[in-house]
Amino acid sequence: MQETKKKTKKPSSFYRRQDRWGLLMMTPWLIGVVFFFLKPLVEVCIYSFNDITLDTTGVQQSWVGGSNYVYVLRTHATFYQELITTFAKALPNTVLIIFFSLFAAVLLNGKFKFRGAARVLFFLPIVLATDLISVELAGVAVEGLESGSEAAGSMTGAMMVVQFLIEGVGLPMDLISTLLGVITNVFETIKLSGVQILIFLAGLQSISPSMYEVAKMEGATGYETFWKVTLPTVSPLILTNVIYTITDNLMRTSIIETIRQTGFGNAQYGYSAAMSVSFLFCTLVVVGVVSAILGKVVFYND
Amino acid sequence: MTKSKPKGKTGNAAQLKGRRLPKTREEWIFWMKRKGGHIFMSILRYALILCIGLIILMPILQMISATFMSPEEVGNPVSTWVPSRFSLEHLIVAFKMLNYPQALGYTLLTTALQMILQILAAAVTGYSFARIRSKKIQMLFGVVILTIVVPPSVLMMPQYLFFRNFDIFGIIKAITGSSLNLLGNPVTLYILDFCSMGLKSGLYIFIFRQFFKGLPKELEEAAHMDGCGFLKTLFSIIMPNAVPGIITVGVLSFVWNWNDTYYANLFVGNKLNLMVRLNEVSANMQQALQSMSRKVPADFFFQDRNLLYQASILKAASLLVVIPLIVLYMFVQKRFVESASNAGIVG
Repeated sequence: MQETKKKTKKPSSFYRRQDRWGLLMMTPWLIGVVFFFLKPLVEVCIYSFNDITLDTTGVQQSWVGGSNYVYVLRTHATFYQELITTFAKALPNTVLIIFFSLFAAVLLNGKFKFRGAARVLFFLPIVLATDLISVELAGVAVEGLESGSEAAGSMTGAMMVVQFLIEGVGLPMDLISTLLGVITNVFETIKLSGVQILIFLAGLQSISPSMYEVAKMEGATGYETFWKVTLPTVSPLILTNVIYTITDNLMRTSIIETIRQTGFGNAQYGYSAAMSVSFLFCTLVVVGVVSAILGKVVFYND
Repeated sequence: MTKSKPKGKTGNAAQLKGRRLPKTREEWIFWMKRKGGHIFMSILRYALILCIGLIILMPILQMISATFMSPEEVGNPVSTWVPSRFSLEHLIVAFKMLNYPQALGYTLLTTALQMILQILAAAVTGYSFARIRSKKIQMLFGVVILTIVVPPSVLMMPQYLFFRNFDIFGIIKAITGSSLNLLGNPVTLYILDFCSMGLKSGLYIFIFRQFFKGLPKELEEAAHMDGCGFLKTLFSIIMPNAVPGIITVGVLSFVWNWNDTYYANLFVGNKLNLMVRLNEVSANMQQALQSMSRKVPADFFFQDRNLLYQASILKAASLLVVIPLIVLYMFVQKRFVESASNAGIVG
């Protein structure tokens, strides 16, 4: 009698203890969330409705209502456009990246020689400082085009092709820049897809081989197998990846620099806060809408 | 080690070799119908992988080529890729400009410390989220998702002010008379990382939670039966089983912290940080080169106003910054690819 009692009691005390300890282990995170996330979030909202000045003792605020927002969204020279462009660019980029990374993951998942080497290569962009390299290359190209004749004697191959297309063939400048845009976009897409490929590949690996065997037995073609087996199984990861890609894209926009410059460069803390809150609001709306739409499409196996 | 893969669409090369090739026309047609598609797919696959791989490698190859090209030759259309004369000038100038040995040591040290803190914090928090059964606590996981989604730049100003007037419930002020200014001190980053609020920390918690959810609960129950306490279970049973997760998060954290300029600039701004220094230099190449002019040997080409020369130096400097990461990646690539694609992210 006593023994059975002990048996039933033991796991429950074990779980209770686990809960207690778990909560204890979470305290650094809880502190972090309160002090470095929630508090700043509330503060930035408050700042955005105030005129802020800094002095040695701390922050002085005076209530100005919504005028910061009016200034930032109406009067400020670039912010409104930047905000729109950021999201207008992020969404197509996300679509491209998702398609490419799914494609690459399927490519890397099959059996072939040198698969290990190929995977190492495809994850290399995660490691590289992608921003810096691409920015630098673009900068050199622009300089070359601007200084035209002076640098004509010393041009690299790509620039000579561009020069030839403009002067020799007579293609309009707009067309060339669009073409160049598409080409650089390919580079960008591949460079920003590392983590997404990783996530998709992990998903593809977790599909049990018996699913494919069944599909084969039933006489499905490779095409059908992809649409009926592979895609539904990785569809929850599409949601994960889309959200990751959007947030990743948003970490690279020029808005961040504008906010920083307004706040710390020009000491217009109120405006900077209003920009932050507008940016945050747009981000949450976009992520919310996208995940609501995708959430309907996603197929969960369990 | 790897799980059995789904049957690929391509024909197995070994299988093809073993069979004798068809002789008559009918046999050929039959053979092509059966295998032709596979061969075509296989060629297509290799071609695609090769192309994409080249695109990925291009910037590195370009950097290497520009670094070792002799300065007189830069811009000469004959030698775009392979220099006819090698020279170390770009490398030496960039090396001195970055103050490389000290900067490398400092960056390695701070980045490694940040990585360890981030792994530890994320693993412990992720584990707690995976195992606590209370519904209320589980709802807190939504906050983790929120920390991933909210762009860090939104919180820039309050966080900055917080560290400018750092205080713990007024204790420091009571003792020293004024609050602490932690800006410019890497401790700010360590505090953020320890509290899982550093660069992409939310993502790491997410990864660890998914990973620990995949570990069988029986593991802890058995440990409990054998008289293991919570901490001992966590650090001697769970953590050794979490190596794939740790490697995945470790590599990501190291690389992203290394490449990060946002946090480093905002809270620390130390010129010894390689990435910060590189950004500063690239924004103001001519000045940086001018300040170098006395430290360069007389027989160097050295033209601080030449745009092409500046670009080459910048490429050499970028290479110097990226090289440690590439070397690190070479060491861990096998484990990383294996653990990330097999167990890392999808639970």
